[in-house]
Amino acid sequence: MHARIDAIYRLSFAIVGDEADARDSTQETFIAAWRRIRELRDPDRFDSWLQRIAVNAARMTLRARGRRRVREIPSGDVARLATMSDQATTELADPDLLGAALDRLPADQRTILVLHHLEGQGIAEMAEVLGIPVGTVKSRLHSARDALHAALAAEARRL
Amino acid sequence: MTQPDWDDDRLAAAFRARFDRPAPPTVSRTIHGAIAGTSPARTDIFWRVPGLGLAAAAVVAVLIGTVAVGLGLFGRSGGAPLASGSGVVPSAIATPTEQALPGSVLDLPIITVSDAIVIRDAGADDRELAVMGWFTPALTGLRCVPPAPVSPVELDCGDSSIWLTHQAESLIHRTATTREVSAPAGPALKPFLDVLDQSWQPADLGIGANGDSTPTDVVFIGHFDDRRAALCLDAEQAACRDRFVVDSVALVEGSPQPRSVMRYVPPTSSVADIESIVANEAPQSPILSMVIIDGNDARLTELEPTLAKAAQVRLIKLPILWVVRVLESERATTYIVVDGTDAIYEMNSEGEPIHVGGTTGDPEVTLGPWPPDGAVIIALTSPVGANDPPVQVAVVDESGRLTGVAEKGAADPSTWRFDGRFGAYAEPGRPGRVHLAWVGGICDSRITVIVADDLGTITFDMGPQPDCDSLGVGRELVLDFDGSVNVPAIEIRDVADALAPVATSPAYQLDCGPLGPDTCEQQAAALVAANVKASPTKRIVSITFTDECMSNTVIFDDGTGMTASIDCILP
Repeated sequence: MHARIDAIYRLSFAIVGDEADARDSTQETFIAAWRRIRELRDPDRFDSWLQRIAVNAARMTLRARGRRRVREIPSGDVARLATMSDQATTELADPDLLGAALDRLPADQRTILVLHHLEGQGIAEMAEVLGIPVGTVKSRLHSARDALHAALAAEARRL
Repeated sequence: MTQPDWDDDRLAAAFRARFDRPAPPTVSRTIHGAIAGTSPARTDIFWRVPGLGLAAAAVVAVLIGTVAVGLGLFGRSGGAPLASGSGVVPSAIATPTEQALPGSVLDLPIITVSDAIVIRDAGADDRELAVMGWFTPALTGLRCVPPAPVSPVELDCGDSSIWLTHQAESLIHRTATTREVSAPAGPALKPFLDVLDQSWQPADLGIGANGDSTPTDVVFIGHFDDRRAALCLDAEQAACRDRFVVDSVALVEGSPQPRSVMRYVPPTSSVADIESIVANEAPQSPILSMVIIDGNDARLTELEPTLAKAAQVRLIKLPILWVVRVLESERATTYIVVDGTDAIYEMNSEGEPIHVGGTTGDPEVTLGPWPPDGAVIIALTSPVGANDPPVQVAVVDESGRLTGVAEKGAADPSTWRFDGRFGAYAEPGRPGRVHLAWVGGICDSRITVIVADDLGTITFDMGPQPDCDSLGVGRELVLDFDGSVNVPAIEIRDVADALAPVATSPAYQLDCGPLGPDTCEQQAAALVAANVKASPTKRIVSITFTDECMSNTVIFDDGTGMTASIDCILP
């Protein structure tokens, strides 16, 4: 049980970038899946179906966040943030740089990057999860990677 | 500290380090707490999911142990009269006329027109409903010239008399010289059943010797909020969504009806063949109706407008198709099976055919041998797979105005933005030049680009696409014509998508300067929207943001420009 919840939580966390939102989004995902299980026609596609629900829940969470002003600092980041001032900026770890860069990207780009780089999904899998044609996945991933590299460069310059 | 470039390995490691952490224990507890006591759907499905693990199973266990599961979604009582002698299993549902009513059809509880209206008005809901009511058919012989339908579910003048009413009402009244149609006095629906066998309908509209029509009591299986309603004009959207789209005529005068199989063309496959193919994709799901039609038959518009449109613009050559409506998980799913093969496609919610099974047959026939006669061939230098030759592009000019083809022009494509897979851009100062940009794959080998005779459409055929799970590769092409070209108006299509258009081509070059991507795109969209109102005849070809206050320079397609210098206090 925990393995599956963990997987959805990881996906949600990476898309929304916030632990509290990820908790909400994960809960929404499983509750929605329970209510909509009749829509699942092929049990072999359960994981893709569940991920699709998770992605949509995460997007909704991001939209809702637009109306909020206070964000929770992930507990795992508190210690890092506390010591960050002691570090040379050039020593900022990749994960932190990545997190900051992802914050610059729109939800759709974050989502496709997470599916590819974190979940290790190929084009066809992403197309199924996102419910879009393969060609569109290629196009969006291409744009998202460009945007991420630009954002990483911008973050590196800023620091 | 020197870091390597952000390659895939480094990115993946950073993603894992940043986000791969377990869910807090409260998440699991909250999920259990939220679900327990609610109505689940199909309770056995979790148990049948291979390798599902304990996540959902534990949830199911909680529910089985604590609640009584009620699967009935409707549980409504009958309201309208039905004729007796139906021959189906009677239920305990009583009606005002105290006649025995069939309790369900295909496991769908039979409801009244009034009940259906309640469901319809409760919000978007495309579940299949079995609705009993009184049917008055469409008038025949009406002399009306409706506008070309944009969606089959749009009402036209021929639908003026067609109704499914809650109570038996006589709606058509004939005299020696006239036929009058009155509106129903009680609850009623506008059914759509144009693509079903209608031989069951009464002759002469059911009009008796007294000149008044007598409605037919029926049970229809159908749905509201049909996906094809999205094709209706804005003003018709609500009426289209409210149309009760009938997928099966279940009962007429209480008698079960055979499944509707409309044969517009003789097929090679048998009904049993198609049943078997569909059953592989949708096991234990009843077929509601079948239509066999030539893919180039104009009547395909009534079935699947998106397929028909693609065929009409010669993007695809469709063979004979079986259009099969299936009742799956309380909803109607449409499958397209290519006659004589086992190739099966599922129409998704956007009206796109998605290949879901079968190994032979392909309705997406490309436009002939390659390269086509008279095509201009150019080899691209953009990336291809290791040891593969360059990508070759054949440009077919049906306009007769093409004067040159090149891979690159003066404009820098790195700042172009497009929402879809393709984009077309003007080059400032070169009114006859069209830059094309698209995202291809590493395995592209030969591509055909067809310029339509009116220069309004450019069609891409990406050629053979092996199973190549590659990332997108940006490619570009420059076309020169002998005069000015309205680039923003060009519609770009992709043969493989079998749909048009694939990109609306916002068609402006965007330089974000110091702005972040979100802010940049939002501000650019606002500028475009403002321009549409202020100067509808001029199109923006480039937007450049020059500072963090969003100062900008906008260039229009007529060569004019506008600079806005904005002062602000930066944090």
